Amino acid sequence: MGLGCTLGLGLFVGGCVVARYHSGVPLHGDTAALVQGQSTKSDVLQLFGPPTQIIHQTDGDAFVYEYARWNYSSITLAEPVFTGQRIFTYTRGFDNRDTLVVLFDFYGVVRGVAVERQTEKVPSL
Amino acid sequence: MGRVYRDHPLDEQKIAAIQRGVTTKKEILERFGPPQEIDARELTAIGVPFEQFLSRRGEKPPVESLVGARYVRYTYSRANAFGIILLLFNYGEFDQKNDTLVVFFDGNDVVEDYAYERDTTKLPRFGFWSR
Repeated sequence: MGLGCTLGLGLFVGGCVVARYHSGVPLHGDTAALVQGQSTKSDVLQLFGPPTQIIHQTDGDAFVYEYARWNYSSITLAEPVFTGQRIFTYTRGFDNRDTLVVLFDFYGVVRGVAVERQTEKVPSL
Repeated sequence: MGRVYRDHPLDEQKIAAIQRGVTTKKEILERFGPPQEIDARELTAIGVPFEQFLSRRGEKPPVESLVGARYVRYTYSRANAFGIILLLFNYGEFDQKNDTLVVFFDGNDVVEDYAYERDTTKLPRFGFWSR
């Protein structure tokens, strides 16, 4: 009985790790307010603020805005008494980003907008 | 718990004093010091024929834009780390936010536009408890 209890308790010794990483702030501003062929760099700066990254292309610049979230969780079951071995480990990580890319022509006029919001899809556990 | 501070806070009074079309690159550098990022497009643009890449065919690109899109970026970064270690359950959180000032200059090194955003105030002090 005692040995059984020890074995049982030993088998159920485990660990759980939950980690969160946030970089930047969620995207703000409405991309619907941007009109291709009309809105300018100045409009974009006023709406969305300073871009995370500025990329130069052969036909104009591109502003990249990014908000990143990383959720990590892991559970481990180990048998620490007799073997000291890990019996089971399950790990899951989600590295999701909200990204907005605004393409400009040489004149600083918007010629393309792409937005994707993935951080909302990150499960809490 | 942990705290990370990188570079120094940006002076909002100095930022408010930036005037589009008036303030020069020299004045920006004097007020804010060395930037964390300087654009270097001017070097990559030399000798490149642009006509074939133009969005509006038949038009010549403005010379300033060809060598332009020049900017400096000032960043003040802060990060808060928060962790609980209870052996069977462990929780860790790391949140990084920046105050960012980006200043664009025209071909005469005068401020064309700028954008500033203060995000470090949105940093939660004690992880998820204060989020």
